[in-house]
Amino acid sequence: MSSSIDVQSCSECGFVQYPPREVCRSCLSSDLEWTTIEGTGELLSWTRLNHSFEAEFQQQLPWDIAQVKLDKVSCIIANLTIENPSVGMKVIIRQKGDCDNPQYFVVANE
Amino acid sequence: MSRSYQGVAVCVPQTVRYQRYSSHGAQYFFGTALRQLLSASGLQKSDVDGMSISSFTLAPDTGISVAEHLGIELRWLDQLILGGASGVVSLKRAARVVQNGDAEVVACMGADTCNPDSYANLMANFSDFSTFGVHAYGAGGPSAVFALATKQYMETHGVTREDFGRLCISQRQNARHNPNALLGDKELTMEAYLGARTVAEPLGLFDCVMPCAGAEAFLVMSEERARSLQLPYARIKAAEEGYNAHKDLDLPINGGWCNFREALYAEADAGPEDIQFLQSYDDYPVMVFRQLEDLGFCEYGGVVEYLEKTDLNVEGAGLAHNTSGGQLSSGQAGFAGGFLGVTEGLRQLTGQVLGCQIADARIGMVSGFGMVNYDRGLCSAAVILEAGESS
Repeated sequence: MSSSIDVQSCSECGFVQYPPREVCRSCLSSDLEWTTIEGTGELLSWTRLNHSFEAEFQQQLPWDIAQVKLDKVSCIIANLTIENPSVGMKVIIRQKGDCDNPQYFVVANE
Repeated sequence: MSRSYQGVAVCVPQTVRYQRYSSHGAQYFFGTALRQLLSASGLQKSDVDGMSISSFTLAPDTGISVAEHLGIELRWLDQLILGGASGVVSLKRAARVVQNGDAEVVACMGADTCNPDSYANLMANFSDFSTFGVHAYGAGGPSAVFALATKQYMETHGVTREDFGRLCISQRQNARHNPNALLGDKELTMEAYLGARTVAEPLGLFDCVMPCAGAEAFLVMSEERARSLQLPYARIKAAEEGYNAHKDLDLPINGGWCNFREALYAEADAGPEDIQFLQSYDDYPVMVFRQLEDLGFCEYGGVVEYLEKTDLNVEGAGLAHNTSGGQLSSGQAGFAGGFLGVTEGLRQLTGQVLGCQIADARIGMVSGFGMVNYDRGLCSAAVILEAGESS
């Protein structure tokens, strides 16, 4: 798993955005490309799911997820793999899969 | 240009009895709501020339399908998909339409059915962003996102589960005489609140609204028309709506009411201290806390202190809050949940309550919030209503 992640960036103004869109959220250009950024950031919040509408997750409950703010992108929701998480801690997001269908995992930044 | 809603009456609050599940489609709930509106107002179907509808479970039908299904000819039709903000926005737009003469009588209706599959299907396909960035992590549906927001709020402001529990208990007390509240006859104790099964930490079962089927509806017409029909009505002192507020902020808890709070009170020539009741959007208790802050009832981070000195009970001397018990007690009948605050506000101001009546109701506020497409609600709205002369 890589410790950098693929996100959309605008070829015209350089704005980086998540989730991916059809146009740039800032200048509305449709000239978008994938760019690799460092997955370092801060844990905004986390929760342990005891319920899920998704059958594949229902078998794995409880399931931890987190909301992470990266330096360049805010608010990525991701799987959480830290044993004792705390709000505000430094974390790294790792990416599994390609940019069209990524799965993000939050690990401690130690 | 004046922003006044002078001359407009909002009236005939109607509720199509909530059910946990229904085998009927959404059209049944729209049809029943319209029938109740006509019966309670004395109007004929041909008198209603405008319609504003909101529903999640109507698809593939749309607003125009409702007109066809119910056999009603219209001059004006609107369909609002603004989640829990839809009721306030529906009222606001219908009022302008009546003011402008584009329609004379507008039926505003929020309705949804519910069956064991409908809610999960809705959550699985709610928006592109949620499919990509939320559903893929097992977190489809609003509870996971509001669990994240709630935990963040608790850490930031030192709020405990007991603080949220007291709010939920006060709403349940307000519901105890409301026959439409599906949980109204079930007393909620702090022990039961804290001991309920966890849905997504820190949210327990009683922090989450129960999906159900039902409808809420009301009519908008001129004051003159309402008086001639001898219908008790409410007037709109001020109303505001806003979308995608705080789009650049990291904190998903932000609601957006703060962006129009000053304009709302200025237009109404009133302040929070004048408001006798607040029907807030209570999809999760943390959002009620945020509305109390954003709408100026207390300082940011000061909700717990505010609640210690303010009685939220419908029969209390403080701020009567979610006087029907709210969605946390009634259930969330899809889009009807976004209309519940409006109909309950109208019921209080026109003396047509289902449960408890607050004493001498003259002025109140209804607040709406909705559409968590990814990590935050994107629609917010609020209206200040006052009792009309004939009420």
